[in-house]
Amino acid sequence: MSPERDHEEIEDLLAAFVLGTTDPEEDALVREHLEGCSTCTRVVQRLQRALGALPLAAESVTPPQRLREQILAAAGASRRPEITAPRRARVLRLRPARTGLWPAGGGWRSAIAASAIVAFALGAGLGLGLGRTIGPQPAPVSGVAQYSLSGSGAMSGAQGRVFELKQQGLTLVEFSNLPELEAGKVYELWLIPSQGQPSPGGVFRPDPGGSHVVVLARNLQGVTALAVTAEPGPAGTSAPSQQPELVGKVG
Amino acid sequence: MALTRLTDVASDIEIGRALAAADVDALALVYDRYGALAYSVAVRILGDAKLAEDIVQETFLKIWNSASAFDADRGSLRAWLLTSVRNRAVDQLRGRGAHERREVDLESAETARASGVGADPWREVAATVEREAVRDALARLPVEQKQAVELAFYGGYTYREIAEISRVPLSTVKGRMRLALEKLHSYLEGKGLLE
Repeated sequence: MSPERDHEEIEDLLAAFVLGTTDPEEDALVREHLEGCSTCTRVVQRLQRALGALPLAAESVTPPQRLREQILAAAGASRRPEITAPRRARVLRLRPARTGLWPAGGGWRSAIAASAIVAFALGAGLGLGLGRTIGPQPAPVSGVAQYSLSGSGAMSGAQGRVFELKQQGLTLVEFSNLPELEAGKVYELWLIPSQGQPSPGGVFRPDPGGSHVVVLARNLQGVTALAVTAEPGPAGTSAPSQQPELVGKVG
Repeated sequence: MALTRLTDVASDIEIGRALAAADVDALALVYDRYGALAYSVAVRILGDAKLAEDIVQETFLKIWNSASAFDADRGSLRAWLLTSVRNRAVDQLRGRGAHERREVDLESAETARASGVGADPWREVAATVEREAVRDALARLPVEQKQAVELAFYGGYTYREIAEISRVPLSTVKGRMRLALEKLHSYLEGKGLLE
């Protein structure tokens, strides 16, 4: 293909590229072309400015007041010195699968459905507390409890750090070193009560580095352990389909 | 180290520096300026108030933890935030089954004019002018051009999918997208809202 033809074909794609509607191969082609074409680069910049105005046309909707409070509480907590050097936490280690972390007995799926909480945090990880070495540290947030999750078996090396903001009614779970998921699967977080059956706490896909943060709009009162399993995506399941290999005790 | 207290008229550069220095007040200021707008965009895309809340929370925390990456020379803080919200919301939508179109359900969210805590009234006026101008620009587009852009921007559809939906050739969709964005730019530039 001649350079002129290549340029024309790429130029035809620029609006689709700016709108994020090209496929990965086209996306790579456009990016490569832009590195050496100032004309197309200027077009892209102009189209991007137009695109940047589009959100302003959205119908105004007032967010709930709690959203502001949750964001600021989570942000404050994520900068705590303890996050970069977490204290040792007690970890629940599982025996082989036949011992069963999940309670036995039937008829509990409906109970789970009734107590299911909303799934959070699909998409890229938040990287809480990562790479922040400059500036003053905010004052520690009071009433924060920390726990950890530890992987075994296929999830050996995976970890989770849990920050329970009791007063704010928030819980952050920061995962790292999660194994890559099979196609069509998602990770699902489970909240295990002292009695009864596990409740789903959200589904997520980690970033390419195996990291992700799940935010729960609740504290962990009544929860004795957290666990993670790989479940069918994108929505996960209402009940775990396998023994968890990443678990941690709460309290 | 004491930080200079940010005011309601702080620039993006000042806010960016304060965010990078872990100033929670700066994050509160960003939320008060753009939180309602970010939430509105997420609701528009997801059609679900609770999911929109999650996406906005994730996005603000992402910005909080990567504030040093913000470069005011490359774009405004608002554009950075809203692009991130849009991308995350579309990812969420497509991850859950992007082709299941849903009616926007705003019953659980109060539909009202955006008004953050401590919002600057002049900023609100400016935002209203901008919003009306963008809506006016969109309304002036031919229906098929507007549809192509909205399916891409709010629905996360690829241009190939839009061609199937619209039953037109791929080249037609690409042309409609280009024309739509060019016209939006020209109109908003004429209004002094874009460079």
